[in-house]
Amino acid sequence: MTLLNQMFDVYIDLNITLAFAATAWMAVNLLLARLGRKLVFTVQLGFLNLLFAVIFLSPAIVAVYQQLLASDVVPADYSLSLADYAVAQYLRGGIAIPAEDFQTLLGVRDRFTESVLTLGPGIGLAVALFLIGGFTWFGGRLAVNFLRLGRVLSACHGWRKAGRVRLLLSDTAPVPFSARGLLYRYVVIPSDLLVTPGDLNLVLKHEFQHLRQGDVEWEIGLELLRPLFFWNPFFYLWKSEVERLRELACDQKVTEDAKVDLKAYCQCLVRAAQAGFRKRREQLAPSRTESVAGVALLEVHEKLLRRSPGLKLRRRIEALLETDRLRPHRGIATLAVLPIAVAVVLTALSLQKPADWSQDRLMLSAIVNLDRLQTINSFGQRPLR
Amino acid sequence: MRKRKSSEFLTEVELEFMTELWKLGEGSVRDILACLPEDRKLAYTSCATIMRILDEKGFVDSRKEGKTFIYSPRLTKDAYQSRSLRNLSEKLFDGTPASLVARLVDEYDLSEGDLEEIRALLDRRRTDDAT
Repeated sequence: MTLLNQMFDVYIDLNITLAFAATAWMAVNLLLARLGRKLVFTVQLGFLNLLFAVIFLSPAIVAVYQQLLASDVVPADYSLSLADYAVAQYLRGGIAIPAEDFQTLLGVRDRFTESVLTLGPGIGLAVALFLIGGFTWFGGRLAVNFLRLGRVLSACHGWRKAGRVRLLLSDTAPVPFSARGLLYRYVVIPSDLLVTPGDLNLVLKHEFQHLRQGDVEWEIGLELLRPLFFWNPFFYLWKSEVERLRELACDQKVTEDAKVDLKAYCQCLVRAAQAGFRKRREQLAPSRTESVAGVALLEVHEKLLRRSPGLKLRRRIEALLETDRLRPHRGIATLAVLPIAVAVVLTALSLQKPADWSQDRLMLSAIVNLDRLQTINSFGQRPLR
Repeated sequence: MRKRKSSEFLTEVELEFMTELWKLGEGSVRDILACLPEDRKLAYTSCATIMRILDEKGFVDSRKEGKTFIYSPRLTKDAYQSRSLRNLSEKLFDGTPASLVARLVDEYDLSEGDLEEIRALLDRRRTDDAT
């Protein structure tokens, strides 16, 4: 198997694992909602980020597991490959289809991979062109967005410095946002906020919380992955969930501070939204700060297939007013997320390619050959009455 | 020397500060703060930052007198008005100032005196162009 084949297999596996993890996440959320249990947003965000890390570590876990299987440290009986399980079930009579059809079914993914990578006529070429086109388009957009971020940051006025954090003032940014470069992390504040010290204080607390939570780094990570997963709806679902939770978690954390008045904070969000909308409307040549890889205080731009910014703000304020959210102990919380993480890893392991020369596969191959032999031998014989 | 950031236009707050500075001719941060309405309750540091930004954008000049910076406008109010109007005309009225004036006359509640003044201005312009 070539390196390209391996990479494509990992890519397909990651897409399937991501889809599984997103579905599992939604199912657990639905279950908790049915049970009337709501976790604090900081814990939910932690879970989501942990699961995302597990998804992207899963190819490494699979590689280690396959090494252990190959070196007999783990017995072959412990193979978790779904295809191996299906073959075993077939041999036990659990699946009633002709052997040749079953083998063809098992080889569908291999043939698809081969067809895409060799630009085979028909579906292979179409998929390959679609993927290459998507990678190029979204990769280009990513590069443009990073360049735009650089331009936006360089057009800002320096305000304060603290360690590796730079506070900048912008004439054009409709709303405050955080971003990062290679060396420094930036908090960009619309310069008009300087004249409302109360709001400025709350906005800075919010943006610093984003930096503490590492939200900017997660956002950059997700943006870097977008060109690879551009066609996967579960990726967008995941990203939108991360965006929602990180703002809610940040709001929650800021308002937990005894010095912060909840009502004042909600009013600050509303004023920031009003100012953002007004600024956007008034700008004769709108700035494109919505497209930079940063984390904004709130949205003032309509996005395709997304809730309106107004509705999102309303949900945020409603969430801030809820006080009955569960705050489990860190250990219990970790134990709760463990089953989903294990399920994600098991999914990744079950997707691994079957061991071609396992006992069961040899048996299946023998059955297919016997079937073929029988077909050949039956040529010229009088049909049975 | 501080790096200049090219920006042709003022934000709302900067315009408020520049308006006070145009009235004063020149002044320190404290002078400008004293001119602002009392209910603004602005911190000195915030005002100083806004003045520093105006300096960076090239709208004011600054010189140091003792420990205080004294700011003076580099641009007259008339020049900024022209610049803003030209921008408005180009970007919002497709480069046709006549549409801008038409909109102004239609929408703005102009008094007889205002209209008379505009007419006199146009007549004067026409006479100037003829000579």
